Amino acid sequence: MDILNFFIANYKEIAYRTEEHIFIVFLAVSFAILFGVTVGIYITQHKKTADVVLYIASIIITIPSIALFGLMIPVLSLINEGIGYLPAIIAVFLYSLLPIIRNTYTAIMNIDPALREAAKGMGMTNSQRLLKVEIPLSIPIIMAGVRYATVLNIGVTAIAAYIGAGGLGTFISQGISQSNSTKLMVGAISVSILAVMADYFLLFIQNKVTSKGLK
Amino acid sequence: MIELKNLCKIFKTGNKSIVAAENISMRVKEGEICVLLGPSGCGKTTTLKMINKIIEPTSGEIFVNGKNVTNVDNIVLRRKIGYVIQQIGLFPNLTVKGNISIVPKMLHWDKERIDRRAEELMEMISLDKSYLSMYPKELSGGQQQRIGVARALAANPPVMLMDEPFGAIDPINREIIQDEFLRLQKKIKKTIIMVSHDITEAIKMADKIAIFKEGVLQQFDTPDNILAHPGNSFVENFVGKDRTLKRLNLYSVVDVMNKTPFIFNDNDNVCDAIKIMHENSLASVFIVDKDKKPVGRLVLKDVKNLKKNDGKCINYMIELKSMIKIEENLRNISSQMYLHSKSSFVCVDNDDKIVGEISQDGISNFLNATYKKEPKGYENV
Repeated sequence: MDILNFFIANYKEIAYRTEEHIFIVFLAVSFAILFGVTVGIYITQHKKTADVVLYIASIIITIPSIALFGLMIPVLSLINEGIGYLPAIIAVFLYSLLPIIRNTYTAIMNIDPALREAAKGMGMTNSQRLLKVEIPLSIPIIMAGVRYATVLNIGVTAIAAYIGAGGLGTFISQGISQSNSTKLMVGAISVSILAVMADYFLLFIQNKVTSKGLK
Repeated sequence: MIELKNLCKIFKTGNKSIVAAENISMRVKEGEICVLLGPSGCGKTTTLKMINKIIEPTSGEIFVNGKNVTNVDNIVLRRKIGYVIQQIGLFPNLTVKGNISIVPKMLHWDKERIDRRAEELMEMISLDKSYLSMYPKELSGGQQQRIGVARALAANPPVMLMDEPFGAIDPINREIIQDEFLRLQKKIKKTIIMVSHDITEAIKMADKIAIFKEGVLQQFDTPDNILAHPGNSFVENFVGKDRTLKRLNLYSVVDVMNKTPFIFNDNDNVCDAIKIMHENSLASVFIVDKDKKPVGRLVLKDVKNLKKNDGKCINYMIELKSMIKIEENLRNISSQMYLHSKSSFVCVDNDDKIVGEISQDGISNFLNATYKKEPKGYENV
């Protein structure tokens, strides 16, 4: 009951923090899609690079987020951005790379070689093949990576409150320091709801952009 | 027309090099189907894929309709050559129409022309227009294969390459689709090179067969010549010991039948028939009605003791149980001969009128003619 009352009393701040949270995740994941899909496609043509890239991306995702923020503070302090949005966005971007690169790579590598041969035999250029066949066929798997990255990083962004990035994590960090369990719960519940809603929203987008022939 | 001159392909793996195709030279005339035949690893697929440069030839030249295409840009070349593969390879993310309009779109046809062509192609492969908006997964294997052919034909290329195009279809549908394809080919008259490992399919489809072994072209000839006169022991083994029986598939009744059999009307006097049979040493003659439709067979040994004026043919004949249409192939006829234990059949046209007679001796003589013409077997080569 306390929690509900808190929600009603503070809906303006919750809405503002949610906006902040979405802003960080949306911006970072968008960059990660542009960069990750490009890299994912590139490494399908360069098998030796593929192992190195996937290895590095795997290492990044194992770094605890709090440690990553800590590592970035001295570096970004050089440009006066040690705390705030920028380190949060960079962290989310880095964590998003592995699922997006790996899924893009796997999806394209798993395309039936017969389709590639048919495309080649009809006289498609490499870029036509990529745009008309390989990417459209890979979309469901790439989107699964994007969804995973988004949900994961809605969690990571909650911790970014500790470096002053704002977002729904603010309620959690304040709840802990003030021993206010209601505030803590409101923060946690909001983050969970946001994660579930983001996942459903992306699923909706995925269904929109996937060809009917692939469902 | 497709001509290959001294085409070679050598694959290098480490310090070993494998010759996949050695000095392949052949010429496929315009409108002909040439089947490349042989066991797996014989170089037939390599040869096919060198023509549209999916596999780059090591040396040699390729001519399409008299033009040397060895140095034509791969992309430009491939858009002018229809290509059908065994796995069909329809793009699952595109509708049937999307699939068949790929090459026309790349050639910058306008929308109206593409639409018209799509409908035309559907008619060609006898599928309803409503299939155009469907996705490949909604189609049966046979329908997908037809769409695969339509896609290859989309920009009306003069030549087509087909890599085991009927390989992935079940035997019953394969027969149907092969027949359909032959009917279509009669209309469109493309120059086609097709890979197969099935001798029966090759005999059925081909105007010319090229048999390969270990990268070397063994024999390039008409199906009948390959079967009747295999050029070496490899070809002979490959076509099988029953090769003469396989030749039966190549001909139909009309090629072999005796077009002027002795026939009598049902009202003719039986004694006239007996006289003719004696004079020409015939065991039997066919009896027809006034519309020239065969109704029975008069057998000499049943009637030879009859005296003069004993009546009409119709009273003594044995009723006919089966008649043969002239477009039937000889293999089916031979099968019927064994089934009914008959040595000859009456042949009729589509109006059931008598046009000839086919006999076991007739078939034997026909098949034998080519053996007598060229007595030299491969043993003497």
